[in-house]
Amino acid sequence: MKYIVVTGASGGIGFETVRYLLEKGFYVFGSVRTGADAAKLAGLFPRNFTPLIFDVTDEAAMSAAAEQVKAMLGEQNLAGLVNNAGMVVTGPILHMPKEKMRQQFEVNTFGPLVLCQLYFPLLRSRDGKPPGRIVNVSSLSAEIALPFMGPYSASKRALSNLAHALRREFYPYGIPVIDILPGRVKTGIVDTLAVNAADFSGTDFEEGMTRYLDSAQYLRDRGLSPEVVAATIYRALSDASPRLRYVRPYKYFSRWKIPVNLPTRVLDRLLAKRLRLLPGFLKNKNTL
Amino acid sequence: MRHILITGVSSGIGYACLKYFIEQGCHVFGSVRKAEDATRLSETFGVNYTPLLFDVTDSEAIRSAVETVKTELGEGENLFGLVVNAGIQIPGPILYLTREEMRYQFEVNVFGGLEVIQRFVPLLRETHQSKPGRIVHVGSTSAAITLPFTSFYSAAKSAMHSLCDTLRRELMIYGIDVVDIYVGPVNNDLVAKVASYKERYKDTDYYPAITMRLDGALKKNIPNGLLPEAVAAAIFGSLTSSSPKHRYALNKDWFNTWFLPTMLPHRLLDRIIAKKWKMRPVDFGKK
Repeated sequence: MKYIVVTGASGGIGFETVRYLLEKGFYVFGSVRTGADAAKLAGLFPRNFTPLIFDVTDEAAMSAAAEQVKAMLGEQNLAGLVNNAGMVVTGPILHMPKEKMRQQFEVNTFGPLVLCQLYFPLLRSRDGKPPGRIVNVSSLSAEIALPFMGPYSASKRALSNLAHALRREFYPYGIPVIDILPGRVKTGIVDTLAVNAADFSGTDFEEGMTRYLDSAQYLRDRGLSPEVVAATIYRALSDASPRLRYVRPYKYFSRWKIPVNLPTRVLDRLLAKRLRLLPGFLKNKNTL
Repeated sequence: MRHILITGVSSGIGYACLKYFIEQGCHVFGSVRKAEDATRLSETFGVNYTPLLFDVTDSEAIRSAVETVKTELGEGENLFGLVVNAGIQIPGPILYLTREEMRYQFEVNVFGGLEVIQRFVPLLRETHQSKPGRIVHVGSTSAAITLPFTSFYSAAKSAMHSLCDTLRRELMIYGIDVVDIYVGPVNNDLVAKVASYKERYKDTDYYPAITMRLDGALKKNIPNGLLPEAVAAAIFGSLTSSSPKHRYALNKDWFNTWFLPTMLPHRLLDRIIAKKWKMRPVDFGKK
């Protein structure tokens, strides 16, 4: 039996990953934030599943959960840690409160790192057993910083950057670190965007923000299926020699190859035109 | 008269910028954290320098600095440039860094840097007599080349690089351009200042590797690094160029400190690093 910890298992990619890994015969520990979600998942997955309750910003709960996993594993190794839990903060970066920036990084960047620290003793090779793997679910936003996605892009960029550091620092322990970059996924995340948007009405970015939300709504049912990402996570955990990075764009050319290969200044203008960010779109010319 | 604001001018690249920009005929607002630094710099540079007293993590102090700058600029004048330079480096293996240390690295380099930009954007905007100003972030080649034991510094610099992309796209509406400068190893005392950190890891597997990396930096990379004056000249160039690149990579030893590490396959670089600093599984297995 191989044991895996998956964070953020209540919905989206995390939920699909739990389901997929159970089908493939793994034993899964899935983290959720509420007791209700834990009960729901325990009901859906009666066998080979244990819910863990913690928020990635709550160090005490994270440590307690790691102790729980350790006790259940006994002498056995953990085969993988899937850092999936994340959140999205959107809005024009000029008006982004510091508190929101902090929250974005606490959840998407610092949380996964602390989990790597906590599970390291269970992942490293003990008594000749092979070491486990770390799989971080980052985002294409790490490579392509779209307007109004500033905090999210930056937090994922930092996470993807840290994957290189983790890989190099854990190299002597034989723990592979794999970075997964999915494009837009069909999840409930669109609904949280609209809530964020209301905070920025009345700024010079209102029109652009509206267009941005319209396109997000349009893509609501058109993104990647979470199952595609779950299958990629399974590959990262099970391939004999995993790649260091798996890129899963929603559309290979229009949403990955073209944007990353265009000259940056050209991409700047294309995005700015689309999202009403060219100087001509500025309505209120008065400064100060 | 060109007015330029630079954060962190008490030493290093910030100080070199302050000196260079004044030589080029600019008026500089420079932030320092200690009142004695403000006095010292004012005595050296006279009327061409206006000291601002703030720590980039202190929102209130930044706000009052904005008021100072606004008053000093007067009607119709704006900032020609904003150089986001202040930063710290918290080194150490990821396994042993505390969450508090991760936070602090980001508080200064990312959240602090961003807040300075947010507050000063209104003063960079176009006025009836001057064109919009420009923002330059003093980044690091470590944003693109992640080495062991400086991971959080790298992460913070890469997060700032991503934010520069976002800012460049969003601030286009005001005609404000944003440039990130990846600075390679610099011949200053930044690393020497934090060198004592290695003692904290005396009892870990990483100690020999940390020692080797530090020795290499202090004996070779740093003395052979870029001069702060050269960095200042490059920053000035990116502020004044009529068509700047979105990113510059400055390196003295371009081939070894930029070309090779960014062009080699990651896996190969992993092995080279592991061999160089004795971080192969066999090296750790001996204990």
